[in-house]
Amino acid sequence: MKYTIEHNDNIVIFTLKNDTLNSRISADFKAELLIICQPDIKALILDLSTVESIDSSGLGGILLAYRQLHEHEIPVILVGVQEMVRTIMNISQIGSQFIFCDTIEEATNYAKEL
Amino acid sequence: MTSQTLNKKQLINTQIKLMNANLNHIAKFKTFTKTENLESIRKFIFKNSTKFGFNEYKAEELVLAVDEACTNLIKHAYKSDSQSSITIEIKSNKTNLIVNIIDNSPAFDPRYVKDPNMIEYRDEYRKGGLGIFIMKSLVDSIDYKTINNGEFKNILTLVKQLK
Repeated sequence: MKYTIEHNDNIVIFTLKNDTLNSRISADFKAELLIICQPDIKALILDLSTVESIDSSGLGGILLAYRQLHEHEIPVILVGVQEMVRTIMNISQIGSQFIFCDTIEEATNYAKEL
Repeated sequence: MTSQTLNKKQLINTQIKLMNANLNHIAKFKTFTKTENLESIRKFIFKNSTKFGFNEYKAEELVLAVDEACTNLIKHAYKSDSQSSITIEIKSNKTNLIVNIIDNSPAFDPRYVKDPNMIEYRDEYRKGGLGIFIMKSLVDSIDYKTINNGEFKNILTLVKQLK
């Protein structure tokens, strides 16, 4: 898995650099999310701009972040979600739980206003 | 199972039998049950789906449905035992692409797996069922049968319409 993690005033920006979020990388993805999804952060921004496809295990990773942070009312903001990924999220009825932004800048501005 | 559900399943099975009556064989692919081989399966399905006439988006939907089915087999049926094999056959008629996934693991009919309650799945630490749910959602119909001609086989059939 290729990724970067950036911290900006308690906003954590996780940028995935793979083109698929599937069973090959989902275990590593979940492990990283468990480390960064701490109750003292203000928001988690997941940049999925490069991700063209996702499977159930990848969705499971995103849901893991949601569950970890939801109980502390910390939002998960998804950036650059492509059509196929959005379709799978909608099929699975989980799209409505996330905030969607086109760019990291837009997501960061949103998180700062919380 | 209600009589309504049974009738629906009987109708789908009849439709699949009618489709099978006039099919062109397109391609066949056999591979060992290793997660590393899922990439080859995805490429095989994508190539043949686009050749059949699906646009890239529809082809990716079928790729994901087959990927979920094969991932389930490799991880759960074979428990990552890489010495077994999966065979994938692609057939078609004018309006449907039919993918048969054939393997020798113990019988398991995904049609009877209850769809997950996504509210509970989302909010609680539930596992399992999402892959089959996604697989079912991305194709137009599913059939499953077992045959035993001296060798036991499961045949899972996924049908996607060209529309």
